[in-house]
Amino acid sequence: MTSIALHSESTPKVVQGGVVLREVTKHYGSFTAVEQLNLSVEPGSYTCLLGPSGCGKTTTLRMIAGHEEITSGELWIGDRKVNGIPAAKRDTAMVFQNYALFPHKTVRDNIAFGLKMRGVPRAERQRRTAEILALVDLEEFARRKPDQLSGGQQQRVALARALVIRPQVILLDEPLSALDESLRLRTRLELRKLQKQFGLTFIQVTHAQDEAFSLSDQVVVMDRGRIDQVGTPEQIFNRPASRFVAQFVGDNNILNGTVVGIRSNEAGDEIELQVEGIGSVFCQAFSNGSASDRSSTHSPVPKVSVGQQAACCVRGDRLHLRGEEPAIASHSNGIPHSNKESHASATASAQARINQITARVSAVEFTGFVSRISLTLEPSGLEFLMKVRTDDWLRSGHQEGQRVELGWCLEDCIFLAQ
Amino acid sequence: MAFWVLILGKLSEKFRPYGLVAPQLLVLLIFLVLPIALIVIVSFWQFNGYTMTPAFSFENYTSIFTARVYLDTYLNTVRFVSLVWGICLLIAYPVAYFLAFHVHRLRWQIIWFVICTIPFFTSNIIRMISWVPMLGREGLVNQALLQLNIIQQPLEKLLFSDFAVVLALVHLYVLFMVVPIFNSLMRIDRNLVTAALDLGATSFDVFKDVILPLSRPGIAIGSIFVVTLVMGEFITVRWMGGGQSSSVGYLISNQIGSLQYPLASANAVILLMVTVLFVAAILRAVDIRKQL
Repeated sequence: MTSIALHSESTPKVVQGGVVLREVTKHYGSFTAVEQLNLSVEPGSYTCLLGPSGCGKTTTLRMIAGHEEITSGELWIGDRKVNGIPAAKRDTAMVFQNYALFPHKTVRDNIAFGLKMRGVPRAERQRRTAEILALVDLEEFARRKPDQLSGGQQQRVALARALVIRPQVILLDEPLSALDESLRLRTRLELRKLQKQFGLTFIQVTHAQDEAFSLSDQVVVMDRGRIDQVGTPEQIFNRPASRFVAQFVGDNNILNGTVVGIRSNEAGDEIELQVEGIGSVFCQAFSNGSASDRSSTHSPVPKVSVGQQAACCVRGDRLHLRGEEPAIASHSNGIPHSNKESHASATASAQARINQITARVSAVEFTGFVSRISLTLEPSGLEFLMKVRTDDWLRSGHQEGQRVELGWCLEDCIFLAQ
Repeated sequence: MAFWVLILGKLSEKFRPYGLVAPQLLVLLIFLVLPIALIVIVSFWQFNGYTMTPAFSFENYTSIFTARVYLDTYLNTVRFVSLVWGICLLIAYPVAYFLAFHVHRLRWQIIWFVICTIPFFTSNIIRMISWVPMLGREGLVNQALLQLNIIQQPLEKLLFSDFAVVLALVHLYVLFMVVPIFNSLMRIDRNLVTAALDLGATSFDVFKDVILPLSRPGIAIGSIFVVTLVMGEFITVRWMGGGQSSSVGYLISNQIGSLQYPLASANAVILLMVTVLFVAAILRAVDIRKQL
């Protein structure tokens, strides 16, 4: 899908393989862990399986690796159907959550293990191990045991151990979850860099939305053994396809209501929802593959009919206070609006006026660059969350307990069929 | 007890830790260090057939080191130890492996362990006596073999022989090997096995390269138990050997019976040294600290 910068001087021949799951199902007794999964992972891409614990993401990863049997369905790696083929012969390598480094072996022996098991001759084994040790910058630790390394170093050993056997696909099970925050951010960059450098297919399991967004070409959001949405990080973030995705992914405010009107526009359908205690809310149902999308998305075109129960969501950072211009840029320099700018913001505020409600500020949380404002809608009592730049909030002069007018644009209000 | 707590309360911060350690230290001093010191002292005394006389003589030691019979007894003891240790290891490892890797439910692990410990509900003597109807001249084994026409004459060597001693000792101590090995196997992160398989290892590779090296501390601890316990054995040797087998422990008990305390003490000191050497060798080969 994306062209990838390959072949750093030390990187060997690149083998590529995509992964395809067709109707893959996994039962444990009467419990269904994963149900009819359909997924296509492009060769050389970075895919994250994102979801809460128990959603089946790790099971899916282990099925791809060959550590769990598939109850039904087909699994393809590269041009091979691998159902029933043992893990060792699948041309995949796994990076485990707690790294699963052999505690009695040195770093070098840990990395060389896969080569040894594959019967690679000693000389080549040593050369390739040395190469990969240099790549992950662990040469001076080659003789140490894993428990003499820091968490970040252990993580690199685990990655090196997988990379050195040159698999088609690297499978990572929460590889960053055991690291502290700053190390996690750095390692994230490193992971992405290595993936591009080797041109390998990476499939990673994570429960952290920011991790999935920053690493992936493709994000797969899973819930209760099913895929809710597949798409680029931007698609998932901007156009959640289901209530679950909206809840899981961002600080979304969700409103439930009844469809009372449907009007098609250039992006899809404009839908009017009747929300109890609020009144009419206008939201947008996007037709498939719209606007800036790079590739296909799984999110189906929602079939809508008048009278149907549905919901819509709007992200906290897309809510605007009345009188505030939604275009933040015009505030930032403090210069009075030029004519051109005021024209732009006039259209923006016209859109913002599409949905309007009154709310009371119940709490203000300072988190740094942005503040989180808790709002209680009147008269319904619903809780809303707004995220604003701290500077903007302070400039607005609003206080806790005060009443404010809120508005948001049509295209920021996403229709959710279920 | 309450009295001691009262004293502890009165101690200053600085001395309180010592106060807490003191009771244990006292027990060890009175019941371990003191008796051993006494044995060492007595081992240099002299004995004239009627009484002991305090002295500082190496007579006991020279007689032990020069007499062929003593050397044979020591060698025989070491032979028992090696045999029992080897057989215990061969039996215990598969059992522990089965319990750790093939019994997945805690309930079943407990049930299997209880079954393993049932023989320990009866006393050692009773268990040894119960070997008699099993292994004796008219015993079950001989009867069965005769019936099956495998032998024409009953085997005499089943009971009251070195074979019987080793059998009974293995029976007695095998669990001391099973438990530590089981413990060390249970500590192995199952992801290591998955990781090894993922990297292309066969099940034999997994065993050889991952499980066996990681269970070494368990093997070492079990070995220390078995070696130290068998080294001092005398009841089993006496009963199952029927006077035909000898061990240093049995020898010492006989010497005590004939009031030769100085000689018995000298033997005890040497036996202790040999045991310490064995344990030191095991500890040198395997780092068991990770297990503790």
